[in-house]
Amino acid sequence: MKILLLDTKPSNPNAYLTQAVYAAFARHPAVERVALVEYRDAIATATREAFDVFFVFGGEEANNAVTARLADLVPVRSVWFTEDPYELPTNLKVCDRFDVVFTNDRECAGRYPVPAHHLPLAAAPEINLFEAGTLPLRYDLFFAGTAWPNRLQFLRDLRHHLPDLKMKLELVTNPVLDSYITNLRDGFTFTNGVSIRNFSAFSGASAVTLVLPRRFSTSDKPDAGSETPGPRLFEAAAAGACQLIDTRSLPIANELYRSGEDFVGFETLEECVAGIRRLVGDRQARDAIAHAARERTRGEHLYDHRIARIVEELAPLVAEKRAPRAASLTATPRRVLFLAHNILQHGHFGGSEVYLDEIRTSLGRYEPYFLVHDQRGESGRFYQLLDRDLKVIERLEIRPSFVGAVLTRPELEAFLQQQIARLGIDIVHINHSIGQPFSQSIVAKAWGAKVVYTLHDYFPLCDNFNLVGHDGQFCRIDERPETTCDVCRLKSAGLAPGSMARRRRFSREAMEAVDLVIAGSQASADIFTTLMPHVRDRMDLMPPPVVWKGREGTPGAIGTDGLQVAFLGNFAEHKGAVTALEVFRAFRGRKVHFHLFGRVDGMLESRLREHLDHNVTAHGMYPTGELPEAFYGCHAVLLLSTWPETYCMTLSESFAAGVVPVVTRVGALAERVRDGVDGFIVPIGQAEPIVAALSRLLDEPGLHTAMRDARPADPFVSVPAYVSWLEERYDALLAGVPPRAPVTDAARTFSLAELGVHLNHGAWPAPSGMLAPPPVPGSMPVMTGSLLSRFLQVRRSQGLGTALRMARQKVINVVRTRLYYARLR
Amino acid sequence: MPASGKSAPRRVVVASASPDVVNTNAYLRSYVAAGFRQALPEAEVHNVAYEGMTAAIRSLKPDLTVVFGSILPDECDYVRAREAVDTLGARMVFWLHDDPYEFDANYRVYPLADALFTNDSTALMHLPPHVRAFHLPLGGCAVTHYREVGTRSQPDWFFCGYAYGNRQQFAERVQALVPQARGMVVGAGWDQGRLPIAAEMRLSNDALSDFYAAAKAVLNMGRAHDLANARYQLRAATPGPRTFEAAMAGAAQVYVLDSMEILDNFVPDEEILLADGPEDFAEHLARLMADPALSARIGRAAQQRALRDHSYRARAERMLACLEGQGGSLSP
Repeated sequence: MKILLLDTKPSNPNAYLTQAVYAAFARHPAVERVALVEYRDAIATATREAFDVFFVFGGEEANNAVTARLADLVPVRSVWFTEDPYELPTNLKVCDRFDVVFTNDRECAGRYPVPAHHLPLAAAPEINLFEAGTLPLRYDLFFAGTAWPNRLQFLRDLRHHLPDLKMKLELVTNPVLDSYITNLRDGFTFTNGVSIRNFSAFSGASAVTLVLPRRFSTSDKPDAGSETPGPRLFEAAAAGACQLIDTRSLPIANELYRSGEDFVGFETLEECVAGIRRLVGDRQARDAIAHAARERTRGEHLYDHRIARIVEELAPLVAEKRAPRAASLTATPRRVLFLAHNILQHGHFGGSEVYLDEIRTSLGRYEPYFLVHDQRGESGRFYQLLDRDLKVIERLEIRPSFVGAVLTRPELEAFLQQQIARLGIDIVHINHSIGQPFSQSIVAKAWGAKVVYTLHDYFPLCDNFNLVGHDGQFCRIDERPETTCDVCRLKSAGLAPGSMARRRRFSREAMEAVDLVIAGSQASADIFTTLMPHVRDRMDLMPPPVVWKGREGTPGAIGTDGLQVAFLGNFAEHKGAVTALEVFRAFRGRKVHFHLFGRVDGMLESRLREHLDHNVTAHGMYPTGELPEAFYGCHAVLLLSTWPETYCMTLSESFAAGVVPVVTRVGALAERVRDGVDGFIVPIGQAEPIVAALSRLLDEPGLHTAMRDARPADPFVSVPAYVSWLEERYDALLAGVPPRAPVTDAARTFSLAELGVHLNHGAWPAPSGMLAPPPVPGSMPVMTGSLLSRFLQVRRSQGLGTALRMARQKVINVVRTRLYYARLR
Repeated sequence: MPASGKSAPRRVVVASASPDVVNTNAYLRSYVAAGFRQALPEAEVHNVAYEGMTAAIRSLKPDLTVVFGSILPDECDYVRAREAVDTLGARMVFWLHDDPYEFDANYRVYPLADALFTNDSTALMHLPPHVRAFHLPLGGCAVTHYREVGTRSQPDWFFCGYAYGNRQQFAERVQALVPQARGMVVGAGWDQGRLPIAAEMRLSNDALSDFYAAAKAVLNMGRAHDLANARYQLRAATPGPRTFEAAMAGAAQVYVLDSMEILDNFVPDEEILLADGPEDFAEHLARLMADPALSARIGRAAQQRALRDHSYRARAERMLACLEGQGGSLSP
């Protein structure tokens, strides 16, 4: 029998009970395997291997979509409710998910509409069994438990009758209870409670261990009580305690143990006082009772006995070899939810948006949905859930708007959970993490989705996602100690040292939940996995798809018209523009002309101006995917990125048009060009090798044609080919994973903490460490120098109006960040 | 006895789990390293800071890396150190010393640890079954903490620590019960108006050991300081490091009994005295004041026990024995 064991209470102060149940299952000879899972990994475990039984321990908070999914995935379902009768109304709502119910409360067993059995809690031999000691007893009386009013009153009365009694009390209260015990607390001290091992040890070291009922509820039945025994009854007995038990409220004790032999019962205060006097004064009698109780527990009331009963009940059901409920579900096509920071239709798009839109229109066997950060307008507070036709299914507003400084955003996490359940999402495909917290991969996995991540850039490694450092060059973080990031981000963004380490650690944790990372080139995969070595075996390579609308170029003869050289893409520092300026100068007066296609960065306008009168023509911007006509007249193209491009569409376009590339030795560029065969590879930031390469094209007859003819025959992956590959990957991830039924009620979602994820700070630029002072309000760095520089740059290149609008937005973002950051404290 | 099994490491790196700049317990790492040097006299043992861990693993190529301390700070990351260990085919273990107060962060190292050692026995029983885990309390350093037990001069009683509410009340009550005793309370946060014997100051480790050795009675009263313990709200069961450090200094400790686990570590009335409240403490204090030789006897016995069972050498030997054995265990 293979058992999947889940404690449904995600934050359970009695979690040791679950461990005890696990250990007893593991010891049972009929149990071949037991997996103790938490919400974070439960569904992933249930879909990775086949289990016979889904066994829920506790049952509290079981009314959630994860538990429902688990009940669909495993053939036999059973629950052991341990909080009856207090939780009976809630338990009745979920009991029909289970084939067999066990309940700690005898009376409740008859109230369930499904087969139900009474099963009291028990003791754990590895935790509670203590052999009899020979040391003198330290205490006359030991009591541990919540300070319910009836218990405090009873203990006060005992003190009155036995003022010299040496008591060891471990009384626990809480803010709700405090107001009910105001008049009773004099003379008592309250503690944070006692560990279970110490509870057992104190029980064994006391003449008498008192068992008092709870007669308290904040519901409309203030005297509500239960006759069901808690675990302490068995734990104390196992530890060698001599228990004095209020048998009026716990009549079942007489059935589980023998009154007078295994424990001493009382019904009145007077009987209790008399019992204490007798047992404190008679060690032999006390030890005899303790010994009998321990032996009875050893023989009848260990978790092993309870598990034996459970296995006995479940074995016939397992033997039926029934199929899990999910096996009968049909959900075709299966569903994939893309998380995106933007879509093409919202404007201001780049390559990742184009990529996403092509997948949207081409996916065949999978039904796509999109959770998109709507960045139109200035608020940035809205998210849209869209279907394949981009029809808005639902809109989410969060206040304040999302800022990249946070690692977790509960509203977005809850929304994702609800959509996975409501739509029956099988795969969450993160197209970009911008606009979403890293935590979403963890959340998606917990809710049973497979997680795919497309690496369009290096955002999981650095918020400066092209890895251009403070000096404008590729930071080469894959070759340097990671602490150097502190210097870079301090100088470029004013971030406190340690910030990047916090961001990257959580990013790594989030990547652990990703099932497949898609990289466009080996070079980008290598950089990524150098810093994320734990995802290396989940990395797959596939270039992004391209819809080629261009044609082969027809440049003129080099000898007649000179060499025509393109600079394709924005003329900016990170694209190698500064080096290009030196190249322009070097060829002045020779038969080489340069053509710039794209926006010219404002910072470089003045430096470029002098060249425009000589051998450079700036053609201006062009629409994405529509290469300007003049490009087809070029012989060569300079692709001089200073950062490691993950793929580089323009290189594909250059190859397709037959324009010979000169590329920098970094990232996908260097990987895709064969130096001296179909292009040239040059060092970053050096003009001379570029001049040499272009000179060869100029001076060596036939070289250009030879290199052009040597270019890759098929430089693109088509959209159909890509989508076919992607669907195969989806298929592989979902192999053996049954379809999921959409859930209408997904109100109960989990916080990161409930999923077992701990963060000291919700934001990564927070000041360092648990021992550091708390963050000072308003200490979020404002990048004044960078802001001013950027403002001047935009004003020069795009006018004052645009610069003011962007500055305004930036200030709003900074203020929002500060407000959010302040709320995190 | 030095570990001598066939898998005994020949090169060990003891590294802090968190940057020294945020770690007020960074000095403990040197005790651990010293313990390994004693346990493995033929091995190279290197003591490195968190920041140098990965580089040290790559260059020193240890058989065993012991990551020691608190893993709680959000920036503490061991993925690349683990990768470096994997490249060597070596082992990496974590010895966490702030359980159960930081238990919620422990999950971060489950996938990285060949074995996990926790200072607290309650934390141990809450670790997932798939984690190979052992209980390993902190200890006392036979070099730094050891003091010759001589004349108990003064103070009559001594306590060092932060003034949590229960401690302030306890100390005030002791003063009221034994007003003739010359007490000394040192630490932060004390209300000196209500407790004039308190001094707001921080003691060096050396000075602390001197006080332990000089006082007739040393109050040992624990505290709970949860930083990341919301999920299971675990209650500590294992005595804190001060217990072992004071024993190593030859102190006559009166241990306020919040956990019976102290009995696994010291013999009551011979190596340590137990109290359930200020009244018990006052009784012990009166006895020790009247009979300073008793104080010295208890202190010497505790010191011998600490040297034998609770030194960092003993802890290192225990860790190595655990690693040589199979599975995990619940208690030492």
